[in-house]
Amino acid sequence: MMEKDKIIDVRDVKIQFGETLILKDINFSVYRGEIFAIIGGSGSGKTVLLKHLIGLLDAYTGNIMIENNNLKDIKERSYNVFLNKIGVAFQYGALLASMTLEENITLPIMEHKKIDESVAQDIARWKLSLVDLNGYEKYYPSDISGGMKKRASIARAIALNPAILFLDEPTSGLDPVTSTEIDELIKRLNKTLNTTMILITHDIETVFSITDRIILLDKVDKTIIAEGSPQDVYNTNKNERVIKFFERKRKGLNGN
Amino acid sequence: MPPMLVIEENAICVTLSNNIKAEELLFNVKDIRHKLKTHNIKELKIDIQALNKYDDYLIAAIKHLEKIINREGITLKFIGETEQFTDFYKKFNSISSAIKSTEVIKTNFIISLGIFCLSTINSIKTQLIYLGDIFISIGLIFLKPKTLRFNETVTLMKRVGVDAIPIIGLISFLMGLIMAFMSSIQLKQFGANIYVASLVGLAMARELGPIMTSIIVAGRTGSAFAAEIGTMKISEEIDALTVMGFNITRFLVLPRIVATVIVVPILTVFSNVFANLGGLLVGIFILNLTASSYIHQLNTTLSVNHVMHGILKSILFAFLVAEIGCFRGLTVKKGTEDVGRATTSAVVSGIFLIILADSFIAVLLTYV
Ligand SMILES: Nc1ncnc2c1ncn2[C@@H]1O[C@H](COP(=O)(O)OP(=O)(O)OP(=O)(O)O)[C@@H](O)[C@H]1O
Ligand SMILES: [Mg+2]
Repeated sequence: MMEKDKIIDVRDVKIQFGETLILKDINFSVYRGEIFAIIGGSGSGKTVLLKHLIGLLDAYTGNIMIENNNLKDIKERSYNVFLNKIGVAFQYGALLASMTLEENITLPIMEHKKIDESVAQDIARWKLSLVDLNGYEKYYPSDISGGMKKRASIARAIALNPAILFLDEPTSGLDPVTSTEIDELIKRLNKTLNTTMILITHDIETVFSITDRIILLDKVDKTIIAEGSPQDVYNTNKNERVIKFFERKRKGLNGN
Repeated sequence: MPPMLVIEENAICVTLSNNIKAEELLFNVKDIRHKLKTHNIKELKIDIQALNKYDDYLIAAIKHLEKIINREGITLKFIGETEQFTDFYKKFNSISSAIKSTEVIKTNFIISLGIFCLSTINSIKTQLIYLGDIFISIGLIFLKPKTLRFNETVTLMKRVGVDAIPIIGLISFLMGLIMAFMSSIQLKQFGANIYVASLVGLAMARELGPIMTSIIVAGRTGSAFAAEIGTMKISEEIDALTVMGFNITRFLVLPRIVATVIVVPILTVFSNVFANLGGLLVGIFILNLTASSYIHQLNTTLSVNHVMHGILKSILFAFLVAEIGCFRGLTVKKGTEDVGRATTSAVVSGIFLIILADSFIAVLLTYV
């Protein structure tokens, strides 16, 4: 394997909202071109951690390094350049309600690329087709289902072919077939464009089929309790709560 | 690297380097088209042998180029294309051209008229049902006082009433001041200074007090009701309440209407008091009246009837403002934009209804 370079490096991060401690002793790295998953129970701080990585929240101590630059400096000096390189799909879609799906996707394209509008629209339709939403270009977010919103928000997140893609629970609320398709899309983008993927997920299936490495956050310890490739964690980690987290998988395997 | 252009005998060849950006190609589209035209060439070749990495942006750019030259009868040919590239290109083309414009029903005058009538009838129907529901709920309060959410109503009374006192007091005070001042200029000429008191007192008690107060309440409260309920609607809170077995009119609308109807008459009284204070101030300092003569004059002109007239009207206005505010909130269907529209419409129709009702009452009292 090639020499790996760290695209994100998190050192001694502690996140605290006022008096409430959310996470502590967070240390991990994400390497360029890998599919990395943050997993953990509901309320364990996954979304909060993700929002810190992209600079939306600022309640931490410690260092978050993006491509060897401190996030704090990036936010001061070159936040726009950084935003140009990343794509984010939020947990609840966050599509702009006053615009059609197509307009939702053309919006960032027209903002960041110097291309004709008709080309941007072609790309928007292409992106929508990637998440199996062709034919819905002219729909408003209020007129489509929850899962469709989710997929549309993924299409918007990949609009600019970002170098790093953050996906907050991309497959929750989707049927198994669509989930598999999204998984394949993530894998394909990762391969063809070498996009680094950071995803939050509850979906054990996703974890085992596409991710290279995971960290598992725990609500009680408020920190990372397991790290590594999913297979390794699954096979070797003896922590009770880690085992518990994978119980479903275990049952599934026994059932087969 | 920008694309390289070579003019051959009966074709133009564009060579794409490996790391070409979509923007660079698009930047050259005009130039390519111009060259094709001036040399009267009917074929464009795109050499993609060097291209082994490409993204959808480049594909979209090439497609754009092809569409433009096709329109002028020029064909496009790839040189050195791989199967993978052809597949991608074809797929991209089929997706973006497969789009069917959303179906538009062909209309003519009759159809539009029909649609208009039906939707009007429908909206009148929903309004009537809504109003009926409100009246039934109000009636229910007397049979079963528990229908009204008491704590919620009290909180709302504070928000609608107490919090509005400063602004209503200030505006009314200034209104009284202005009215007294303006009329004094005329009345002074006849030595009728003292009638300033009657003018301010009567005008405020019968007309301006209730109208000003209700308009301010429409702006402060009607809009807030519409925005609150509208937001609840889009975040599915209303749906949640419905399936929990709550009647939305009783749960959300009734406390708001009751609170407003109780509080606005009181605000109107405040408004009258402050306006007369303004008038009194002008009377004393500009018209050289004594406080006691001003108050005496006010006392003789203003009867309980006048004041009651204003207060009863303000009750009607309060009902209209609260009712239309909640109704607009409930009509929200889609996103945040709809909430904004509902809020605006709550204020505009609130004020409109106040003025309409007031004119109606004026005509009624004059001719009946
Ligand atoms: N702005 C905030 N202020 C205070 N506490 C917060 C804030 N946002 C989140 N929290 C707390 O942080 C914890 C983690 O929340 P987070 O949204 O990250 O959970 P999660 O792991 O994404 O869960 P889920 O899988 O349900 O989305 C929760 O206990 C929540 O109460
Ligand atoms: Mg979350």
